Amino acid sequence: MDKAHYDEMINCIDQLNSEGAFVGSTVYVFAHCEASLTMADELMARSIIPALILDNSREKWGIDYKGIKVDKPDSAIAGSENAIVLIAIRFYEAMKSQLLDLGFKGKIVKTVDYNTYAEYSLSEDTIARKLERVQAGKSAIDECRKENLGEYLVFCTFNALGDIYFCMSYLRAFMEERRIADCVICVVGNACRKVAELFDYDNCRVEAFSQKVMDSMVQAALYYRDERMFIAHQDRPYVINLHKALKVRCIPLEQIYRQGIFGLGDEVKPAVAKKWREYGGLSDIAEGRAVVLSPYAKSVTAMPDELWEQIARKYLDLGYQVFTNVVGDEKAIAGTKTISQDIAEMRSVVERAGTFIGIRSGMCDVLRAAGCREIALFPDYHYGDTRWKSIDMYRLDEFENLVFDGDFEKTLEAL
Amino acid sequence: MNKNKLEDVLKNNRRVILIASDFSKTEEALAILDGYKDIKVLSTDPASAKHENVQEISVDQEKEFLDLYHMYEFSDKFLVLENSDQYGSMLNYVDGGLISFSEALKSLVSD
Repeated sequence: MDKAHYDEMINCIDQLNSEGAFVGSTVYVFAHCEASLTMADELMARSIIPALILDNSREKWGIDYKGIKVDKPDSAIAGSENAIVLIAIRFYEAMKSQLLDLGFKGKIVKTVDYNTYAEYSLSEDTIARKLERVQAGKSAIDECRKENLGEYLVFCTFNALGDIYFCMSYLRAFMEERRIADCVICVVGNACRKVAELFDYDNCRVEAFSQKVMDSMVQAALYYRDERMFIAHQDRPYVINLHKALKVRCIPLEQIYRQGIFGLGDEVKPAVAKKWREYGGLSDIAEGRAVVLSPYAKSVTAMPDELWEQIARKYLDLGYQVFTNVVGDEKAIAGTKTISQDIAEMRSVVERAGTFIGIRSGMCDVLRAAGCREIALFPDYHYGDTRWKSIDMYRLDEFENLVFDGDFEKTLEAL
Repeated sequence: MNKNKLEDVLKNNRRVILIASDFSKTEEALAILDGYKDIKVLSTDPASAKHENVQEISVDQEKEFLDLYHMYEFSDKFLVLENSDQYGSMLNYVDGGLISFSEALKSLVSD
C-alpha cells in the first residue's frame, strides 16, 4: 500500500473510531491481502480486534493472521445488525453487493478509494458525476497531447513496478506490429516513471500522473472511443478481463503481458532495460561480500520481521555486510545498514554486493538482468482468488525462487 | 429496453451480457451461452432471438448501453463482448491456442 492510500485508510479508521463506530460492533475486514492485513494491524494497534477476515477464496479459509481467522463472507451474516465490515481493496463495490445479497444488515465502509471506476448504481446523479469525470479525463488527455493532437497514448494504469517492467519489455514489439512510431507512456507516480525510463525508448516520452487523473483519462479514452490509445494492463480498468482466464490456466504474469495484453507470440523476446546509472557510494559496499535485503513491497503480504532478522544474522555471522534497501520511512532490519539509492542505481548496488535477497516484488523484475546471486522470497499464498500459488505466477528464471511457508530453518538453509 | 429496464434485468439475472454488433464470434458465443438460464444476453442480431435467453435490442439501445458501460462500471454483472483495439482480450489467448473460446467465455461468466 502506498503512502497516500495508507494515509487515507488511517484517516478513515481514526474518523470512525472518533465517531464511536466500533463500540459494541463486531468488526470484520474483507479480503486477506497486503492492504487488508495492514488495516488489521492498524485496527489492532488501536485495540480494535477484527472478529474475522472475510475472503471468497476457499484456499484461504482457516489461515490465521495474528489470531484472526480467515473465513467465508457468509460467516459475517448472523447478528450483522451490529457489525461493521471494512474494505481496503479495489473490489469494494462487488464486495458490498455480495454482502447485501447475502443478507448483511450492518455497516460496510470503504476505507480506501482504490477504484474510482466503479459505482454500482444507474441513478441520474451517479451518471451525471461520471459524465463530469470523463469530461475531466478528456481535458487531461488534451493537455497531455497539447503539442501533438494525434499522439498515441499508452496507459500503464497501476503503480506497480513489475507491471511497468513487463509493459516496457514488450511495448516495442507491440508498437512495431501496430506501426506506431512514437507514443506517450503514461504511468502512475514517479517510481513507475523511473522504471519506464530504464528502457531505451528515445522516440517516446514518459509522463507520470496521479492515480485519480490516470483513471479519469483512461475512462475518457474508453468513453470517447479514442483510437490513438492502448491500455497496457491485465485487469485495470474493469473492461479488461484477462485475469479471468486464470480460472482455467495458470498464466505467468510475463505471458499475460506478452500474449494477453499485447497479443504477441511466444517467439517475441523482451526488450532489456539499459539506462542504468552507477551508485555514488559503491566503495562503501564490500565487493562480493555484501547482501542487500529488500523486505518491503507495496502490494505483497509482508514476511515476518523475524525471518529477515535471522537472514541478516546468518550473513553477518559469515562476515558479510548486510544492507536493507529502504524508501522513505521504511526501517532497516535489525543489525543491518540502510541503503537508499535511485532505482536506476540499484543494479550497480546489487552487482557490487554480490547477493540480493528480496520479497518477490516489482524490484525483483527490475533486477532480472543483474549479474549477481539473486533470491526471491515468496509468501505461501494463492494468487488472488485463483488456485495458483504466487510462485506459479511470478517465478523468475534468473532468480532462486523460495517459498517461505513458516519454516524458518528450511528457508535459512536454502539461502 | 431503456436504462430503467436494464436495472430490472440486472436484478433478475446473474449476468447480463451485451454482445456488441462488431463482435467477431457472436454465433459461437450465443451457442455457448444458450446453456445458461440465469444469464440474459442482449444482441442487435435478429437471428439471435431464437435463443431463449437472448433479448434483441435496437442499435440505439446498444449505443446507450455501450456509452454507459464505457462511462463507468455500474455493475459487475454487466459484461460486454466486443472487439477492441484499446486493450488486451482473452481472444488473444484463444488466437494463440492457450485456451479455447468456450473456456474463455465460461471463465468470464463464472462467479
